[in-house]
Amino acid sequence: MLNRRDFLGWSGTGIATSLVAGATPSLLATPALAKGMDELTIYGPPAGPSIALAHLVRSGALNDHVKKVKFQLWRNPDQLRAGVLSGKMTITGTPSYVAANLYNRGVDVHMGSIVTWGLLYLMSREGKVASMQDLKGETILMPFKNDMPDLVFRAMAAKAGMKAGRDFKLQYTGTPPQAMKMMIAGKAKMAVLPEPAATGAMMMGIKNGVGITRALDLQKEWGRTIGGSAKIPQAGMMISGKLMKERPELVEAFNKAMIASGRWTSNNPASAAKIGATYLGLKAPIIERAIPFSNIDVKSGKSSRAELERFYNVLKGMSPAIIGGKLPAADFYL
Amino acid sequence: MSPTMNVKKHQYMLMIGISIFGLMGNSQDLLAGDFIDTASMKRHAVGEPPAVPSPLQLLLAKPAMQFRHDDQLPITNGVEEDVAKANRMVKVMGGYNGDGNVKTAASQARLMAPGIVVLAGLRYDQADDYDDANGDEVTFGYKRDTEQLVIQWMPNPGGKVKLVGVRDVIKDDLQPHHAMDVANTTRYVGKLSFEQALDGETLKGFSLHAASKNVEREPDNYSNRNDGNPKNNMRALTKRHIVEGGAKLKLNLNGWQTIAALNGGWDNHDARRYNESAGGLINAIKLPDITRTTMGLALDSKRKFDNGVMVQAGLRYDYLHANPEAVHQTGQMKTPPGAPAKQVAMAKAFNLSPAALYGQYYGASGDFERNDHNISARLRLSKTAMDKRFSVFGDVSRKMRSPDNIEAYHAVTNPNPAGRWIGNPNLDPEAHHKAELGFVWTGAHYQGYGDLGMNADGPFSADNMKISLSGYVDAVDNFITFDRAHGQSGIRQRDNALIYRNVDALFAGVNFEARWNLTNNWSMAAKAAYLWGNNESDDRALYQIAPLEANFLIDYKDMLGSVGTWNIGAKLRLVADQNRVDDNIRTGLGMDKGEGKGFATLDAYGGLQIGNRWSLSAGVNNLLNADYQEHITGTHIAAATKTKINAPGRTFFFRSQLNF
Repeated sequence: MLNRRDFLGWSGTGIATSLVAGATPSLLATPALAKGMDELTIYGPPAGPSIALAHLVRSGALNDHVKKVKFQLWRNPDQLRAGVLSGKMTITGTPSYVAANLYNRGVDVHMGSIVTWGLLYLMSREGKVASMQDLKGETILMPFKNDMPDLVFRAMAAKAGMKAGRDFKLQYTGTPPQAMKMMIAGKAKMAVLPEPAATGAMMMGIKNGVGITRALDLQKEWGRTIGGSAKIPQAGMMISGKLMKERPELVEAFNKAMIASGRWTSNNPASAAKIGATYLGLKAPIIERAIPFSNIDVKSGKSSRAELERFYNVLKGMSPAIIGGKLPAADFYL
Repeated sequence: MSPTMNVKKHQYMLMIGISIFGLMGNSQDLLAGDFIDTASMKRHAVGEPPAVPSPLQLLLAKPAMQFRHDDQLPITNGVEEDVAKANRMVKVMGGYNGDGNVKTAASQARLMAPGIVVLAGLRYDQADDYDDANGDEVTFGYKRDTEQLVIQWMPNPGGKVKLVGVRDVIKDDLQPHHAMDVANTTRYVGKLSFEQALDGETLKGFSLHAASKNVEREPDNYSNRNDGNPKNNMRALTKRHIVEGGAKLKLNLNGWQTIAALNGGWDNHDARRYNESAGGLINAIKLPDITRTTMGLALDSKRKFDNGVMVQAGLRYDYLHANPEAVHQTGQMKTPPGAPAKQVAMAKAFNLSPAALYGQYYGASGDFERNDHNISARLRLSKTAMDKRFSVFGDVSRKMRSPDNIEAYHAVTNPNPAGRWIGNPNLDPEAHHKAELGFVWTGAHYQGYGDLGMNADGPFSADNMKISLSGYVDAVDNFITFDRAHGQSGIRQRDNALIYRNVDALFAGVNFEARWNLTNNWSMAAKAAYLWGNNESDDRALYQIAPLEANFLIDYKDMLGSVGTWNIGAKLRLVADQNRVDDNIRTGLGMDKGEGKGFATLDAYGGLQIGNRWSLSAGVNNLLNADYQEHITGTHIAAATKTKINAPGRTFFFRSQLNF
């Protein structure tokens, strides 16, 4: 029998258990903390590849090196640039060409790793296309004139013997959502979209009764037209030279943990999407569907050098300023 | 182009994840529950078949178990949920739960095409006798199969047509606390709805819905038990068909988000009891072919003000017409010429028509039709503060409920008056006057149980918690109480037959819940509820009031290398004594079988999942093998007696999910 007095006593036990359990993790964690720095903030873009970063933070992979690891999104390019130049952002996720640009402008940064090997897809209302040649006569929506996807797309077209304006028309939009809306509304048949916008377009199509197909995997087209493997080293981790010099063991641990976190993210898209929803404010169902198409496979900067240089060369050929006019030197790659 | 511009554009492109989802979300909530939910009000201590799991819970729902109620704060599904809810076309589940020896298998398939989503699922549960804490076998069991089909069609942006079909069949649902087992419960539900979001300045959307529900229940006292008296084989058959529909408009009236709704329904309910030992002759017109037509009109409006105040007010009118067609039909029991007087009297008692019984017990006469015009209203005020983390609310309402068919027209007769159960056509609708006050604290880093926001402070930060506390008082005029005939006002007999009457009643309750993510790995939750109920007219405790109960959860989850995740947890459930009971058949109803004895149970559980493709969950229920009985028990059937049944002792469970 559990009378009211016993009931309250047991309830007190339940609460006490809660408090003990609450204290336990911090108590257990204390010895390991003494060794490292007090706090490290890792920065990332508000996009899919940051899910691997969020996992890394959540998994406690750096607990032996840092007392408290925080994760912060950079919300605008000025934040990213100012953060890197001021030395505040010592580890940050970034488009790979931005890291090259900053390095070539004399900022002490390195390409620690490549996280995603391409997020670009040609989405269509009219089913799959076999290759770039099939785009002859089409109008394609392209977000951001002269930005990386535009340059990459035009470079691949050129290799296929096609030219924008002559063989197909590029209709530029202010943002990817604008391109999505126009395609759903039937104002254009095709659009180049990065993940998770590509998956978002398909989901929006389902919701609106419009069939949107992943018509062409631009990574595969890259391999076919540019050469090398079907991978575009699109985004990765930029590490400051100062942190490299002062805490090489931390950087090494981070790079190692990133590889594991990248694998976990690719292996567990539903679980990763939940983390993405919490850390990035993205909708979990779309993130879950986008992860398998996000080509997340973390490789060190050094081992990615050949792919990166091929990528940088293509961009340089189209618009040298985008990477700062030249290929980064060997010490750029960690 | 400058590097700054390059970065800016690319960063913007990466951010599309956020804006896309804004475009996706245009739910109108038009098919959500009503602000004044009179349609879902049920009689106190109702007994009915277990609920059908929703499509989202088909693979995760625990099997029905009416002698162990641990659903106040259910154990977490843990990492298993990431497999059961993963974006996969086909999912299968299999498992065993010792609470009722239930073996379960289920599968679900989903197809998506532009504008169309199809979800089909089926589930089978088979339960059997189980052992209580003393090792004694408890009679228990059922076989249940459920099939579901959901088709959703989006014909245009903002438009959604949804068709839902459900078949749920429960065979041989054993009721050891009752005189009959339910040999068959078959339910068919079909729902069709259409909702359309609009961008008008005033008209923001509308919805239409229609549903058809068919229920057939067939309890008997012989096909699943042997009482040693083959001359007493009884069977009942209940048939019910409900057709209902409605329309809603969503309006913006000068900043007031307003919903205007119209609902209507047609409901035919008929039940007979048969003496199978006498060749299947009718011996009670349980429910005399009742047809109810209903109509509801509702208007509610809410507005959020800049200072964090939200006002929501609503008014509802419900009309009910009920017409019992077969009130003059009698039983068919016969006696041979020259039969003994006792036998003749018995047959006569079984052959009493509902009309005769209503007249005998309540002095009711005429056609027994009823027409109710119920006016309900509700006002809710809330105020948020501290960056919307803290919210305090007050809610006052008057909600009216007309008697259901059992309360108004049930007509089970018996030569022994204590075995009669007679509805009361003279009942007035009950009117609840409820006032509730409460608050909710949602810390900035609390994203859900087990989901700690980024960069949270230490485990004891209030921002890691969600806490809610509310208290209410519900004064009920004309509360429809189940009772025994003791010659009360309006009751013409003093023979202990089961009757319904109007009394004044008072309910008061307190609910507390706290959820706390200590770290990314550790989470805890506590929930407590207390309810007090009193029959004010007779100054006695109300029957079947749940005792004070508190539940505690502690959960830990972690990554499984780069392949998956795992979790473990424990649950402590504390239930206090219930000393306020209605257990005397001579002075009250006597539905409670003595006072409720408090108990404590401890459960332990864990799970792992790999690649969001496969999971295995397992655990031990009632780890300490506590010997206990639920105070509120045997909820699958409407019954006047609540014989307490021992809950399961220490048992184990496991469940595995797989998707393709």
